[in-house]
Amino acid sequence: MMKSMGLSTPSAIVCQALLLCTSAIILLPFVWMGSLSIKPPGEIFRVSFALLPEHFYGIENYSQALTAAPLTRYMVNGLLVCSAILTLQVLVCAPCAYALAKLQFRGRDMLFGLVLIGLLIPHQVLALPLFIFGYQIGILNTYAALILPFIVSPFGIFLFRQFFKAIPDDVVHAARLDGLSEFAIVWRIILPMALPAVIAFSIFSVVGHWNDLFWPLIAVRDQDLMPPSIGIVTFRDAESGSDYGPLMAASVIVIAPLLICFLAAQRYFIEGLTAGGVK
Amino acid sequence: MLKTIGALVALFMAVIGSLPALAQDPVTLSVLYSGAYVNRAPMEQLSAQFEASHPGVKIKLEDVKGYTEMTQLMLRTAVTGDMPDVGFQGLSFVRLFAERKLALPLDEFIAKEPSWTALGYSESVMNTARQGQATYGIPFEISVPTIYFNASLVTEAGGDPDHLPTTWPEIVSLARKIKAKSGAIYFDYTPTANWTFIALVESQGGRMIADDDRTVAFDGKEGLQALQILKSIGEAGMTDMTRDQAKQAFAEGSLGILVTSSSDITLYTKQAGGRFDIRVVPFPVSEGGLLPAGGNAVMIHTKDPAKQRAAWQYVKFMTGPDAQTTMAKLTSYMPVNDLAISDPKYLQTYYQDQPNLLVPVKQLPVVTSWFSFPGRNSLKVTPVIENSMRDVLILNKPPKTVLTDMANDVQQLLD
Amino acid sequence: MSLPNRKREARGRGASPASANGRSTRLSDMIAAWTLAGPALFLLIVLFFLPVLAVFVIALTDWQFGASTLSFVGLANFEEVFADRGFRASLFNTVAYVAIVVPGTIVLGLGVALLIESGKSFRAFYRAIHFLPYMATLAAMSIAWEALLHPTIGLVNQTLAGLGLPTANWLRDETTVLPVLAAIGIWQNLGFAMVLFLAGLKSIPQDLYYAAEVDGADLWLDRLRTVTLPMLGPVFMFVFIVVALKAFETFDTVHVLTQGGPGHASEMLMFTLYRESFEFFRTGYGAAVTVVFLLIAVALTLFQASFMDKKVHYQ
Repeated sequence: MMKSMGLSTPSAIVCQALLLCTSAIILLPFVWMGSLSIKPPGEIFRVSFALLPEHFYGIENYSQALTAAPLTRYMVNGLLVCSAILTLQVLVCAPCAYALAKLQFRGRDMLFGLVLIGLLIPHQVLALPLFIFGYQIGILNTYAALILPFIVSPFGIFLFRQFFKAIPDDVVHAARLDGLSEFAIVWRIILPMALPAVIAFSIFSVVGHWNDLFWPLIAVRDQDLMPPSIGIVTFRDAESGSDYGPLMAASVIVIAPLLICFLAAQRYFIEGLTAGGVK
Repeated sequence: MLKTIGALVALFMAVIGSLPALAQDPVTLSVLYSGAYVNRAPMEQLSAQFEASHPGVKIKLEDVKGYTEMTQLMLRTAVTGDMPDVGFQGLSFVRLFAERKLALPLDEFIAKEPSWTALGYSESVMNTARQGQATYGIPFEISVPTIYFNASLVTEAGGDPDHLPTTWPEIVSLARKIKAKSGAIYFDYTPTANWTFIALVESQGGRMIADDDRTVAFDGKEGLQALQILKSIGEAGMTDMTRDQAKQAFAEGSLGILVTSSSDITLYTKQAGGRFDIRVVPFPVSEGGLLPAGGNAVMIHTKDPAKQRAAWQYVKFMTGPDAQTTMAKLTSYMPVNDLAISDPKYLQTYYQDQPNLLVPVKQLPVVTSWFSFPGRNSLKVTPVIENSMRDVLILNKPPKTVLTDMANDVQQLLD
Repeated sequence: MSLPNRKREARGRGASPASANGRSTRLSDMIAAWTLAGPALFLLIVLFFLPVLAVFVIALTDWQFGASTLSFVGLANFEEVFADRGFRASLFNTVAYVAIVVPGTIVLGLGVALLIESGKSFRAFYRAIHFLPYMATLAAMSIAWEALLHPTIGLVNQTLAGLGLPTANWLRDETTVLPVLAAIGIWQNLGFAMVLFLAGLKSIPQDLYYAAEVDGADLWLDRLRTVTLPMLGPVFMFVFIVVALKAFETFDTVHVLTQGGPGHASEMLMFTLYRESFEFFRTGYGAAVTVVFLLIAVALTLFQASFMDKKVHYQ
């Protein structure tokens, strides 16, 4: 606690005032987006500061958004793709991290070195060859194209390894004495004990892939397959500026899930982020 | 003996050949179009009508933002193998598709039609989708660059909405007097493939490329005049915005004059919602000048013969007088079909009643193919010309310098 | 707990209870290890290392996507890349953007963290608000920013005009477009920095502040300088690296708001990479841009990591 910093009341008021200012600026796009999403066309382009519309048009805008664009489809795609990616990432990365953390074997350091090098490579660099590769094996414009490139995550391996290393070796030995195979040890013993790491990684993964625009832009073209980020851009392109209200309504719908999840489970998000970061 | 065998073989082939038509295999055509903000309604309506009258064929619609995005998608899918079967491609790209053999020449289908000419396809418009001797598409929607005036703002500036200027100098001097929140005038300089620049050059009788198809020809007096017109527009008061923003601004009444495609007349009128009157004036064309046809043509891309046959039925339907009438009423694109235009049963009275819509129709006789640059860097030329036009419009650089630089840069891309 | 004792016992007995079996255990260990790590290794090679190799190879050829033949052209693509005015502008813009976003994010993130930490109430509230931009899909928020920044009917210009301040055509003026994108970048990343600084601030022991006070550091500025900032060293390094990389890889705002325009004023490396590879299909050129991008990203990370490591004060 910083109680001994003991801010005097004027300073405290100044602090609150400053924070209110920064909060207002941060929230500005959100608030304006929401405001435009409930205004009729006449008011959207009017010069005014009014947040609330004179004529509530929310129902029309939101229903237009849901019908003019396959918004629910985009959201379902996002859910599908993100959960598939996360599941596969854990399946692939956790065992590898366990091996790196708890097993002695030749080539372990080399493997870890490869993971570290992988950490250095930004994913966009791989886009061109992965696109070509995807085309060669015929998975472009499918869910597979959205999921497969991400199922190994050097960051995931690294993060899990750090957490697994902190788990006492005795636990592993005890499990082995109980006759558990290494696989079982990973899934039934280690992973449950490293829950903070799993949560932290899940957050990174889901947030990153829900919001990813670059790779879906390249990998898929069918509107049926689009995740929300590219879906909203497609909607904007189709509207070409003529229907702002529904476009804003659609944007609100797209950002809502992550924001709601975050607000509901703030502590987990923040702890996960700092745990992952500080380690 | 041989003759009898030959006749039997021919009969046999005819029977075999007609079997697929009897078989009624369900065919799904993937159809790509653009400009959903104005085209979605007619596309969905007409495709549904087609499906109703042609059971056994299903239409799967797909849209991207504009013609350039369509072409990029076509190029990509040509390699990845899932090209759309039918596309409403921008007329600017006929040449590109022809050269890369991505569109099916339609002359064979046309030749088999019993009464093609009676169906009403005008020669001059058909030319816009021809390359060399072959026809690569049937034009579906035609537009020309045109000039929109906000009648209220014109009156406020002391002008007369019923006697609007028709030459560039007069238009610019009216613009100088207009006071509007989003600017007095906006010249759309970022349409697909520099359409409006081509219009400025060709409307004065100039050409974009020399006969050798390799040397730029727009750097002559017509090109200079084009840039000087842009300069005068910039001086008259143009706020640099994206074309979407300019369209929004005009529709809500804060832009005085808008120079853009004639395809949105009905849309703006609807969006203006009676708050202000819209008047349309023809894009100035000098004696002997021409206008590049904007819009799109239906092209068949699939290589599957069964799909090609179904696609041809779709093409004929969409470009027939009924569909064209529906299209013209929902958008403001002009029909290809002469019957649709001149027959009172279709659109004749409609146009007579809407003087704004009649303006681009009257310019159809001076419409020519939409020019496009040859070569593999053709897509990259577009931003070069756009940036040059912008430099002039925002009064950054003088027209002469810009013209020389632009010609050099484009020439390099052509080599 | 008896754990420490057991540990000593285990160490006394030998590495692991099963190691008494010698070779077969090590072998079974190896088999287990490679089975567990095998899929990850295979995927790392196929999805990371082979593609990187492929990029380098393609960058040395004249291959156009879809062509059936290619030939090696040595460094010709790189020459073309660096001779291209548009690429140089893109590179310059990216560096400038990072140079604005990283300090801006860190200073503002730290500032907000300090403000929040010094208060007693509403902490979670402010923390949540400032973190929202980081979670919100940037593509969607860019569309909201586009509405705010509209030159005539956007809220920003309306407010400025109402206050009598000069307005600008934010996204269409070459002088303002990149700073505006950078401002949006700071807006988005501020919360991330703030959260990490908050965690770092919480972990600073109070004793240090008492000690500083005893030594005469009365003003908050002194406390900041002598205790807070040095103690935040590791966090600072981490935030710096992550934000710098993220800024370097900016794509969404450019693609949605400006498409690199006007001219090349807001074009950034990722967008150039995308445009050349996937819009113009100049594959060899695009691969060369990718190589440059990769080399800079790697250099950035390694340099920062080693540089900051030396300067950071660890407890």
